[in-house]
Amino acid sequence: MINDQELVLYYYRDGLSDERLKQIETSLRQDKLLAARYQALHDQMEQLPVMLEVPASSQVKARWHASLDAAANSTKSKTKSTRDFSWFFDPLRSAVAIPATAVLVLGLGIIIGLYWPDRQPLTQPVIGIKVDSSQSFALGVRAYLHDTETQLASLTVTDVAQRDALLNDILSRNRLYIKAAENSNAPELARVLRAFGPVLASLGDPDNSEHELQAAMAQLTFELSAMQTKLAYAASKQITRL
Amino acid sequence: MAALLDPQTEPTLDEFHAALRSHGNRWYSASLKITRNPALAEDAVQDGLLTAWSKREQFQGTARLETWIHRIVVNAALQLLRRQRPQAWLPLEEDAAVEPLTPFDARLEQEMDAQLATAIARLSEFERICFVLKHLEQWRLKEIADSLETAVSNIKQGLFRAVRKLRRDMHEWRSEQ
Repeated sequence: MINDQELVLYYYRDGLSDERLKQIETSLRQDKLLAARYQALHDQMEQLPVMLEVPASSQVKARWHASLDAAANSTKSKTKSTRDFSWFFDPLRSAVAIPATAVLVLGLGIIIGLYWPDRQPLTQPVIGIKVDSSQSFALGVRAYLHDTETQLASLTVTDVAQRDALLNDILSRNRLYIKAAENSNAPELARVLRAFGPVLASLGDPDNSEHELQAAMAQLTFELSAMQTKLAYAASKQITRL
Repeated sequence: MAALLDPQTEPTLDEFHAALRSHGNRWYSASLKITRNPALAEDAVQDGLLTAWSKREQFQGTARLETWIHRIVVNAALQLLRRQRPQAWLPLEEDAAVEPLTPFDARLEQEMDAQLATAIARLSEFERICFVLKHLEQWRLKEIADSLETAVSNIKQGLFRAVRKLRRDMHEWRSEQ
């Protein structure tokens, strides 16, 4: 007996053993009722949706092109020469790398700080970002930033396991705060946080080449730069309002 | 764009831009089908592009550049969606609850057959993703299972439920006509 589920798999030519495929082919030739059932299914499957393209706006496309250019330009500007990941946590070079990450985290803190209604007197939404943050969310973000700073400061830079654990922890908590930002009606903040996920993840990928690590760091720099641009814009808007 | 590139050379920035110009809408549409959220779909294209750029050394040249990026963009969409709504990815034994219609569904109705758009919207998130990846993106079941970190049998069940619902809806439309 060949049921409709097997006929669906037969239609896709996927998920069935070669032997079962041949059995179904044989049955389709010999059993007219089965052949009619399959033909009906085939016809319906062919009519299932093939959705038309939905064009992205020209503004969004411009953003994609710009981000690509920025990533390429950042990559060119980097001249790291060591061949493994250790440069990032090398005691000497970490003098640059870890503060860069710390600046990133602090940058997030500044952005979040700007959006805290209880933190700053300028409670108007900044650059169109709607914020309906709860006190618990604000406290949670504060704790997140404080803990991350502490972790970075106490990091044993040559300990790979500890490094990976730290990055995993930051990533996990970043995901939580993305969710919290979304739940707090702060979609722009969520998007900013989300942008750091792939970059942080790539920093901890042992399979990454030096080039990829440099690219990830370059992207981190780019994201930080983008945040600073936003901050500058937000500050200018606030001054205008004052 | 003739983007079947020399396998010995990694794609250039100009080739990335050309691929984006020629296939950006297609990547965006694929992300939209998965996320049903324009903002997430926009982010997915950007994440996918930047990931592809950072990994361009891995591009083999055996496929077209835009096809290679398309796959990375779809994966980025899946990742974003999964992070946002991990609970929706549990493969259920029974039919999952129908999700509420979104503004995107209304937009879809303008772009394609309204009845089909409604039928797609009636699928659960898991069913929709199984269907989109299999029927529209033409992934292998094993690839879908690996990407969603679940068993092939779960993907099959999600696909079966999706096809059953869509066929039932199509049958009803024909009866009405």
